[in-house]
Amino acid sequence: MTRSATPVPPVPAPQPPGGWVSCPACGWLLYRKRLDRDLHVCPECDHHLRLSARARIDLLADPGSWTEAYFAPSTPDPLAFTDLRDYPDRLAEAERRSGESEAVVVGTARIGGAEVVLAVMDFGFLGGSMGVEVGRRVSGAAELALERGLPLVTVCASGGARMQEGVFSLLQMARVSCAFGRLREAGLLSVCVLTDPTYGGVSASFATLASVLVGERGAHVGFAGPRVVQETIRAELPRDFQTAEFLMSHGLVDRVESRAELRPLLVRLLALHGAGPATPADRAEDTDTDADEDVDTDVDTDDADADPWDVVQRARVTERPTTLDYLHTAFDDFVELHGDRVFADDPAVVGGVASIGGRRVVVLGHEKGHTVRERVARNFGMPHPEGYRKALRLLDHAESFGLPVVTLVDTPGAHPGPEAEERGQSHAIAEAILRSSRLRVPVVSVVTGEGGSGGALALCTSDRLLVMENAFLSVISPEGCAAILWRTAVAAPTAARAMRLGAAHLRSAGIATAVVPEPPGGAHTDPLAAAGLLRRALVRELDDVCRLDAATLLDTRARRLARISGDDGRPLQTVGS
Amino acid sequence: MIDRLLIANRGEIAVRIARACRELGIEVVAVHSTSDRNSAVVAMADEAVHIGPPAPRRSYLHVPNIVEAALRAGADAVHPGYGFLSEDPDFAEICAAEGLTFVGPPPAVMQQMGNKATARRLMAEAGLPLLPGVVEPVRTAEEGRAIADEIGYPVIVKAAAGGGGRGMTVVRAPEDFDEAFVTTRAVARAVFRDPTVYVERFLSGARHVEVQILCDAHGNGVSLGERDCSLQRRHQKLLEEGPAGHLTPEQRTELGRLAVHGALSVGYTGAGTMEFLVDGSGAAFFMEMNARIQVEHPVTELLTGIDLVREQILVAAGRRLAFRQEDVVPRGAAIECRINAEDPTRGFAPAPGRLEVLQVPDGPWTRFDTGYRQGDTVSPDYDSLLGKLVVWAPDRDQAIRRMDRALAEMRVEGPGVHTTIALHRALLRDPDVVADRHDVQFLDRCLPAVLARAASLDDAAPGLPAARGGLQLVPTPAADPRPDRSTEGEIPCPPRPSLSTT
Repeated sequence: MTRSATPVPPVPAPQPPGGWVSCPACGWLLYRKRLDRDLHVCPECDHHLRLSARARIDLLADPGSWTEAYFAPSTPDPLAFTDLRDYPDRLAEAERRSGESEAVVVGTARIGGAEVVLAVMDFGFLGGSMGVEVGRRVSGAAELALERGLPLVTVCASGGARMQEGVFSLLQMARVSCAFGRLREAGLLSVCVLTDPTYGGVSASFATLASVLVGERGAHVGFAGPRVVQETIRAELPRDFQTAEFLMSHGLVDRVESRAELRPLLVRLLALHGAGPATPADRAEDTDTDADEDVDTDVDTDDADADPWDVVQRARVTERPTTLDYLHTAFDDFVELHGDRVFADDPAVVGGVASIGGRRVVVLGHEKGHTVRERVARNFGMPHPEGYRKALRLLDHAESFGLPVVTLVDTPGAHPGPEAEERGQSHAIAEAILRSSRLRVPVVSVVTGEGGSGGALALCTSDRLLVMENAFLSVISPEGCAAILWRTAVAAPTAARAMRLGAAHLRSAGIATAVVPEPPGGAHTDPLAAAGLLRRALVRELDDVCRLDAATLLDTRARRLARISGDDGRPLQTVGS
Repeated sequence: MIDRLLIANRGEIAVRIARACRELGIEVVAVHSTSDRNSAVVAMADEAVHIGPPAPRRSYLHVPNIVEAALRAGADAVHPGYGFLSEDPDFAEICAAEGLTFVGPPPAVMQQMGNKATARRLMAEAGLPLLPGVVEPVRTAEEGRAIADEIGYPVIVKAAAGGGGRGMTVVRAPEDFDEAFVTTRAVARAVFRDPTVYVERFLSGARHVEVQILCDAHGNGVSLGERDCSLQRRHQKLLEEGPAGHLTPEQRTELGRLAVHGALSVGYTGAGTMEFLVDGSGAAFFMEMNARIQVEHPVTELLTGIDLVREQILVAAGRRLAFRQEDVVPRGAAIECRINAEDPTRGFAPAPGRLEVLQVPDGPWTRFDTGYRQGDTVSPDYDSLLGKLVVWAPDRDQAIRRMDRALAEMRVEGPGVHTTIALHRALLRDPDVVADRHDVQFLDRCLPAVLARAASLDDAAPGLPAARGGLQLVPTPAADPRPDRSTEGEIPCPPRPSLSTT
């Protein structure tokens, strides 16, 4: 027997011949046919290789649905620019190599049956740079969407503005931003998929102006390229600097998706924003939930004497379903939208678009998690200002698309801490309360667990306030109250009783509009049943409140808030006496 | 003709293929990962090539290294075995492009059979009965009810992400459908975070029956009888046997005919298996096709006397099948037990380690296929199959007794090593299994009881019965004046008389 040497493991080697490609990130040898099937994602390191505009269209659009928009040919060379070669020369070569006439391709297509305007950039054409023609086509795409009332989906890949067209390129940023602004005013959905790389004039204009921003996994997106940043400030940059994941953790994109997940996500997003054919799912669910609905009317809590301390303890059970649990069980579909688009993504607040019983809604809620690890990651459901700012921008989102808002409240309170104060906790809470008090779409809130103080109120200023049987709303935690007024936290049970915590009092005081029953023993004993009960209540309330027009809604909401004065119950201030 | 064949696999199947090659006079090139550098097949091969680190995707699944190994070692054919690259159409295609004969079906056929939906469609076109149901996810209760009405009750609502009995609900009447659908979807969403569900006809008391076929490249095909693999846990087969005694001879012939017809209709070549689900009345429904040699192929070999791996290689070399359907006469009964290095009491968690003791059973019609020798280490990087114990006997009862005897003879010991031996002995004592009336859900349903029986067997008889000490008719060896080698260290040697003459 003889032994021969190991074939050398693939180190970055000269491009092997024939059907093989070497992964630009890890050097792994990839069979080209399989790479095509794998959507040009390296199975070894998950690197997403760059795609041409045509491959993107094939990836995203329903087969055979693509119709390219025609743009009269133009060969702009406003500066008669020459570097090492003449600019028209470079354009001609880019056209020959990429097979495209410019760095963006525009057309209409269907995605999961929904008609959309699709604009896709091609990095292979002069690095996807934006000159006059790209500006013209992208704003043309926005106008086409406006004209036809269609959603606009853009896929970005660009190094930035095109140097060869000088200041004319720079001004394209204003041109396309203006077009996207008009789209926003018209309440039309725009989704931008940020792919590797998206920089400069494109990332600082239309690429980040869409209603929903989705980063492709590993894509580098930023304003100034990492080399420029490093050279200028001479700083060590984090490994994931400017990746899609980095952007998401800084609250700047709604989601990060792998390439294979992009199309399914777009299909769901479009459906959740009312684009495309009404799914049979919507109507079917609607009728069959309604059927058994009316049998089960709102149970006015029979046991009005549930001990407030029991309520407090049940509301805090770690197994009690959280907002995400309800989103996966009581709702039909849910796409989470992350981040405040400014600073961070607060895991203590989750939100996004969802559907329930055939109705499309925006959902917001506190998220506590269950395990210790989750609870620490979610900061025990105590939001920072960025959490409330995420809520704010999702409230805006709901208003622009006319979607009712559902909030699920379960928090011990807003996070008390210096960072939260530095970033303006009070301001953020106040703005969230104000915004929801004047929102031109219906708001239905459910206190599902702890409703701790202002941190809870920021998400429960609403047209309808439901309280689950073992949930409460309080001005301060019973322990806090006991510590201040009884001078010992041990008196928490007494304080809870004195503050009359619990659904029954909220209902009788007119603060809560209805009580959502729970399975015997509390929601945690049978989470699925609890979700079913919550679903029924939500569908009923939404059906009711969605009948009202915006003016009536605002008017009744204002009157409802003014009426809550406590004169039909004992005022909270007398608790300590 | 094939002169030098590279085995792109490891473990028992690599040894099995190497043996067939030896008998055919074909030179063997083995490939191995770092952790398999001293394995049995490496020792048997004419040449062995190290193709990468232990992780399969960097060695046994890494096509460039394997193809490079074949080319450098001068192989003209590649046998993929089972698992790893055996059903990878790209690999077959690359081998062909590099001028290597791939022992298996043509890549295009492999591609078609590898896609469940395509395979079902092609087999339906060929006239094979399919289990009524849909391959597409069902989105609403309404849609599901329509499908259920069409395929007939009872139906099963299955979570796509489910398995092992979780996330499935059997619906027996239309009025229960909606609730079952909603609950299953809610459970799927809550437990698996994926609400996708399918609706399929539910077969109660179904058996897993698969037909072994062999086709050459000249349009000839034969069926080599069937195997019953109903004893499986979460779709992992544990014990296979043949023939399927619950079928009548006519049903078996018909199943074989369908299988060959289906395979030939898509241009299949080589050895393959058509899997069917057979209900209580003997009605069979095509499930899928395995385009490779299977783990349980020895069952068929013992029943028919045909060396499947040899035939597979000959067919790949372009030979015509040397026998016709009427030449294939399955005789008697055969059983195979998969001896896995797993701990059944801990959810079948892999329990690999060094095999300090590996005593393999022997005796009449008892075969043990393994890639391990005493002293080898079962690596945690690969599947936990230690070996396959296969017995043949003239009838099923004798085969069960023979298997039990062989299992009792077998000894596998090592730190941390557990096996499925006791579990098999317990299975073969189960009244339902003995009476051949178990179904595919049997193990998922009755595993706790079987495990309890296995535990009591373990307590009672760790090895062979030795209740009384052996009867001694001659003086015990201790009195033997000649020290034997094993006691040499303990008993001081009597001073030897000097043999030197000086």
